[in-house]
Amino acid sequence: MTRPVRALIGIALPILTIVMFAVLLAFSLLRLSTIERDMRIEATQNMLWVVSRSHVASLQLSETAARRVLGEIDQETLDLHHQLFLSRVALLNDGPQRRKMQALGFGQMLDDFQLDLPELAVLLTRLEPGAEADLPAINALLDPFVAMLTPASNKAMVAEWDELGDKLDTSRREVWQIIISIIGISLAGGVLSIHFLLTIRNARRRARLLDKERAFSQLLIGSSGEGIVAVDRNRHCTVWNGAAEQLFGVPTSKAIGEGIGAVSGFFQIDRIEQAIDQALAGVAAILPDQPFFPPQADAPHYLDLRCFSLRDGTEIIGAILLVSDETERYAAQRQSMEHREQLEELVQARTRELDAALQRERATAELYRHFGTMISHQFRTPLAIVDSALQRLMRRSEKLSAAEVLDRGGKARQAIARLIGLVESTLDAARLDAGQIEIRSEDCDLGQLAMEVCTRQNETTPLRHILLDTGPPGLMARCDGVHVENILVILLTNAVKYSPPDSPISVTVHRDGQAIACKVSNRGASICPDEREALFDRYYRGHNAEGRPGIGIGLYMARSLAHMQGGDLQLTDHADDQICFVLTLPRAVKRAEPTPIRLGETA
Amino acid sequence: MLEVHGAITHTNRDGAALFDRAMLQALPVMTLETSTAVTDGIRRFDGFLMRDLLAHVGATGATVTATALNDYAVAIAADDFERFDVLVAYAYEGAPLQVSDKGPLWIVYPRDQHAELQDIRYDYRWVWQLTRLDIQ
Repeated sequence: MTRPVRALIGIALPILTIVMFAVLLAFSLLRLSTIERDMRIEATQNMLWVVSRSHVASLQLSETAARRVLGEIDQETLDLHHQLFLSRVALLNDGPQRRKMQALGFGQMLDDFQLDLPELAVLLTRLEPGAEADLPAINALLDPFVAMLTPASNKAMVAEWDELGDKLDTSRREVWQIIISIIGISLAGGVLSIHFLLTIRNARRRARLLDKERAFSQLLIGSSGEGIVAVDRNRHCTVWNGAAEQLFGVPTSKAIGEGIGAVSGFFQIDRIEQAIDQALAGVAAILPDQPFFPPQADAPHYLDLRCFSLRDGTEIIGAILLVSDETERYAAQRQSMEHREQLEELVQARTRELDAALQRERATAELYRHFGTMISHQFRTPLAIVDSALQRLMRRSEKLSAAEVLDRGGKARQAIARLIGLVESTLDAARLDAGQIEIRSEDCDLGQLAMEVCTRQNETTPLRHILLDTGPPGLMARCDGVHVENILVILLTNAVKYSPPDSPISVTVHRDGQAIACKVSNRGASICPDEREALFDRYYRGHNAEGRPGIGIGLYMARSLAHMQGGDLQLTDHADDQICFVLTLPRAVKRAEPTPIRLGETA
Repeated sequence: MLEVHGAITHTNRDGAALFDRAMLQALPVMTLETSTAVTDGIRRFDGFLMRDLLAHVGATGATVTATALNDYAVAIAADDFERFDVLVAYAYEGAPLQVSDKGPLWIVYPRDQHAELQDIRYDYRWVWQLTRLDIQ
């Protein structure tokens, strides 16, 4: 049997049975009330008795009249019987009795008799004892009445019995109908009872199943690690599981039935409220990593919140909120981010170090390249000079005078001396690099030192004009005198080397704040900005050094030495065609005795 | 017009209480309108309550046997007169009852006022042409 048919029977059958039950019951009640009504017997139905009493009254009147004639009774008794007789006649003519008589076919006879009553009254009134002649007239008047009553009583009896029999038949039939109806009612009742018993059994079974399912659902909700919270349309809490208890620190008993905002402040946050509103409007909402400050906790928890609509058919009856504590995941995420940042920093540091190493490597490579260039130029030239001098000596050995030999030999030696100078300079630089140069700082008069260097330079190159200004006396610097001399020599030599022979060179010593400075300037082609710092690199030679002897180590040495003494050496801005180097040295702490020596310009 | 015999305390002749029309009309007058079993329509009856009469004669019995002029006799439980306002009528439709009709006295039950009185077992207690009461 298919499902719809079964369902139809399940509904239609009991309804039909109930309808049948009601119809049969109504029918039975109707029948019963009919029977109840029919069971009433009216006095008028007792027509036989009325007729018989009338019969007796008429006979008694007849007899009383006879006895009056005989003188046995008085007129009063006769009148009484007359009255009684009249009352009977009146009764027969009254309402229901009259109709009954008519039905029995005696109406006309009653009317006819009524016409005789006045005559009868006259006869009875004047009846005297011994007036026997009147009796036949009286009897003649009464006889038709008596004669009528005999068949009337018969007919009344038959009619009553017929009526009673009919009534009994009807009642019996109706009782049978009622019995059949009651059987029907019983059957319907039985069917209904069975149906209801089955329904009750099914309902119980279904209730048990539902209970089981509900228990299972509750177990599911209760066992969930996620907080499960449900609200109705009025935002009153209807579900609050164990996980929610733990998350928000609110027991279920205090949450159920309360407004969700009153249960925890978390649900009063605007965007959370909006999410719930959205869910109640039928749109799901997901809010990740919502900070939540639980009571008695200083660090926030991070909750993921998902809101969905609860629907009953198409109607939204509330919202369900799934809340999970993502604090640990959030913390782990943050930690890994920090870790990554650290790594990045580390990588950047390493990259910087590597870059620096690369730079150093490049610088070293550059250094060796400059060194090679310098060697190839500067060492070859003196060697070539020596070689050519020796060749001449060998080729013309017999023709050469002693003076010529001396001259050639002198040139060769000069070249060799330069070569040695170069080698020493190179070695100096190497010593500097190796940290083998010692610094013994003491208070030195920088003006004095400058003057000595200028004097020596003047001896070497007497043709060059050096303008020396030692500034105020006693400009004392904290330095190693020997090294400062070397620095000044380098600066002065360069100035001589890279300036036109007829141009003057100026040397100025002056105080510069907490430092003592010595400025050496000369005329020369301007140095392009690219070269300004490169000049201080080892083995670097500027483009104006072409064709001039030198290994590109002087300025490097000079600056290094200055640094070692806490000072500095800079190529400062210069006007027009002036090249100007400034050596600064820390000022001596103690002021030394002013020196009386004052050197003027040296020619 | 009416004789009352039997268990009564107030008598006026040989242990009986005899009443003429005037004496009966001296009793509290009551009017009753009801249908009857032997007439059509609602009829008006004037008379007195049987209860008042019994009280008047100091009746102590439980049964009242009512006898009519034609010797029709019915025993009525005195209880009836307590439960219902049973009338002894001497006037019918405003006119005195005649012997030639159902006079001089007619016991009338308030048939329309009490459904249970519409029963053949009460109908026979409507004694007309009443002439004598025996209290037992």
